[in-house]
Amino acid sequence: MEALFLNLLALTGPVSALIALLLAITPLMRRSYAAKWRQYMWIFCAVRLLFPVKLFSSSLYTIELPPESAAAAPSSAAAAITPPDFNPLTILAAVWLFGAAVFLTAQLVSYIAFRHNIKRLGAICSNEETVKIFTVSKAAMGIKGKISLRICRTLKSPMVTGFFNPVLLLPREDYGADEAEIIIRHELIHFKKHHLWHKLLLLLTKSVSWFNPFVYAMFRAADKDMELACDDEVIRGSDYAFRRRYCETILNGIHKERGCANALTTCLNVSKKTLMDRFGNILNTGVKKNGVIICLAVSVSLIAGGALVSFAEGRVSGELSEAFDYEPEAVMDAVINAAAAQPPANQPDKEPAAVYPDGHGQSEPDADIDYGAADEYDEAGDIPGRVYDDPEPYENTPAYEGAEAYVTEPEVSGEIRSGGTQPYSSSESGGEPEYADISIDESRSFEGEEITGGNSRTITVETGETVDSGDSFTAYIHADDNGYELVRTEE
Amino acid sequence: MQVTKRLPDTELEIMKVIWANPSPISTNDIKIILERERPWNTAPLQTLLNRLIERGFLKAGKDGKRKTYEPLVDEESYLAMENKSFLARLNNNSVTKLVASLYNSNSITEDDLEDLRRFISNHTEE
Repeated sequence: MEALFLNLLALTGPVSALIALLLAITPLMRRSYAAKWRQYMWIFCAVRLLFPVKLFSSSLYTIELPPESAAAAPSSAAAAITPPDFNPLTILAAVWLFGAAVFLTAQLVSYIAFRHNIKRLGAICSNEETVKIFTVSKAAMGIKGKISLRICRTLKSPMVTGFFNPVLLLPREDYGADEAEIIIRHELIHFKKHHLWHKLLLLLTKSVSWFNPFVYAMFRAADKDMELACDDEVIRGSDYAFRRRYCETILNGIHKERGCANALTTCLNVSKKTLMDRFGNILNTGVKKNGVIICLAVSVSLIAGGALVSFAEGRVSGELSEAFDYEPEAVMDAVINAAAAQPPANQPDKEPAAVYPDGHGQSEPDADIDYGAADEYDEAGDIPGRVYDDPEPYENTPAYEGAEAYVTEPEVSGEIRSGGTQPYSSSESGGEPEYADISIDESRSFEGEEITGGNSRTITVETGETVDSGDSFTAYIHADDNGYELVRTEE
Repeated sequence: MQVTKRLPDTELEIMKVIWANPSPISTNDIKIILERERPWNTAPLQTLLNRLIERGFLKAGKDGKRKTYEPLVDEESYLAMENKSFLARLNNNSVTKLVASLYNSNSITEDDLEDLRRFISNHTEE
């Protein structure tokens, strides 16, 4: 989370600068160039801000974060591996995430409520002429997707909405034929150009970058550009009379549907300025250049200038890349260090105790020897049915030949359960297995011993000591790093 | 008649049909029109119509043997009431951004309209 947040922050600067640049040159462009190319730039900015991930590892553009951010970055990378601690970065990132979630939820809820309201109050259009204009326009514009027509009298403006069930909404049914055609064509162009999906994208970007005022400005500018683009399409190739009628249709619509605006509205009237710009754009009969070339020129220069905001190698990318691509060794080291921090507590070493001549190490209790559960063993200390005569791999491996060394060290003590493998602590055990001959006298009571009955008995054994068992069996303790085992031998 | 409360969804559906068609209108005719959208049973329809009478939206009558209904509340008043309610203002299109409209008239005043009209006329020469 912190890494994403940091990436977003790093992106915010350059992309906001790009947005500001686009906003600044827009008034210069509007007269001569079509609005379409600008739309792509907005989308590019939006997408870039929506996915704050590292693109390239080097660029001409270096991002130098202030020292405290760089100091925070390693701790955030470390936080990816160790439990998070409450540094300011985590808190900031959490606030960001929370804000984004709230924003997005609010937008979603208001949209769903709006759709529900439309469904309640909307009605099928009963003006046949309007319906005919709708159907004819759809066909003439080559619209393949499904979109339906509804009248909803509580609305203030004609509009299209809906992603999976798109609908064209009109506030009234009594438009004249010319008016209806203009309105319907404008709205259908919105639909055809997928402006709703663009708006959704911009909205998501606004949710993620909710703290960035440039994104809000971009949203408004993109909105306006979409309207301009639709205007351009509708009036393309038409005469001045038509254009004038187009502007008047818009004005009449506002006049009739006007809501609660009163004269006390403050002066920064964005709506009025927007409309004036649109009318100017519509009525300007100069041929507009396509703008492709200048779009390319601007894009290339911006990319070269690093506005794609790759992360330069160096402090920033070093720490941030740690957060993204976990180096396996780094993780392993961290894990091992964490594990080593705990007291060994009778744990055997990880190093293999011995390497047999045929190459296999003995780092773990051999998995294929089934030591058996404690209660499988009968009183004699055997697992019924088990053949002890061939206790692989111990007896047959060359390393054991002649390894019947007697343990010479002091006491080996531990709990013996008949036949089980027990933890064995030995102060001086080397790598080699040691054998202590031991017999168990089950009737004998030992000093200091606790006889707990059943199969388990605690005795203290001196290595080399022989304990006689009533029913005459001898067992020896096979001891190695993994514990000891009571193995019965033939008497 | 003073209209105070929102109708539930299905009752509103019925009222819309009654408003859209010449009145008085019989139960069966209502059912036929409603069934253009989805199937309806007569009994629930009758229940809802009775409820609408209780709310004061409809007046019952008779045409021979059949029951007929006339609206007592006109559509404009009802929609105006709905629009004024708090919920409606929440649900209004000004809150959601996921629409592509023809214009945004939220803060346009009469004076603004005048200015804009003048602007259009001034561009006559271009």
